[in-house]
Amino acid sequence: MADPSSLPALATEPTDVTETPEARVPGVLVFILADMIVFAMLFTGFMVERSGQLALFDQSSATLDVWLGILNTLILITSGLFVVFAVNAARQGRTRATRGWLLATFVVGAGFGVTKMVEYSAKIEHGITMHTNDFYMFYYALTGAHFLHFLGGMLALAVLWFMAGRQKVDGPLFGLIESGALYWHMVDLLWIVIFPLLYLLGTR
Amino acid sequence: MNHTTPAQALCVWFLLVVATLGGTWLAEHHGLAGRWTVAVILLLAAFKVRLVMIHFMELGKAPWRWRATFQTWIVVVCSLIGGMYFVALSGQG
Repeated sequence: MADPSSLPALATEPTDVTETPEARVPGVLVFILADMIVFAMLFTGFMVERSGQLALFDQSSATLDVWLGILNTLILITSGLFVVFAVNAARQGRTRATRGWLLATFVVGAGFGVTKMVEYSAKIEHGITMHTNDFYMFYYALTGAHFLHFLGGMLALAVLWFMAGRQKVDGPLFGLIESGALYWHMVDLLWIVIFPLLYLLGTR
Repeated sequence: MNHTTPAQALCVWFLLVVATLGGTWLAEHHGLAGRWTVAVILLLAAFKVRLVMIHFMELGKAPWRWRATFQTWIVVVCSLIGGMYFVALSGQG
């Protein structure tokens, strides 16, 4: 996993955001990259299994609700847009706007959780679980791992919203807001790959 | 000043929405591009991931090593998925 020493370093980053030296990169990127590599391995595992059971994977993929997948993509990219607005407001020291956009990011993001629950419960109602076949094993593993990252992101957003009410958003807190936003974008970009992988590859 | 402005972010969001709807439309209509539908869908996904990295994550202004590393991830992931998709397809005949 990520180098743990990279995380506490955030608090000591320079806070003068009017100067943006090229070298200033949040340590959270190391953690994000490590996570993305793990997901890349899962994607590869999926493709290897798929190669051996093409018909089964395509038939199973066709049972997924593409519209829920699209809705989830739209929710995450919109939530991602709002967190860009939050970082932008924080950089300018606008506390109210920062908290407002963080809240908007959280509320729109919560829609992803709702849609995912609707999707999971519909599948389980039809008796489809991890043990149904290898496609669904990957379906639950990939979307489940992604969902845990989503929950982590939501928790981070809530904590940042809370902290932004008590500290200057363009002070030491800015580094944390930026890191939280970067993490949230990772949740977004992983879904951008998971969606076509699980929902669209079966198309002919 | 090279941070993503709200107006730029809005443009990126619009492109992301169009690419999402376009890609899915293509998949659902069994593709105007025939068997290359999946290739187009993967290219659109790569394009979307890159938009998020460069503009939303502001890697466009990060040191080039970071930018290159993240973009390599896109190339590797999409090539692996696309490559294995077409190998499986050709194996099927």
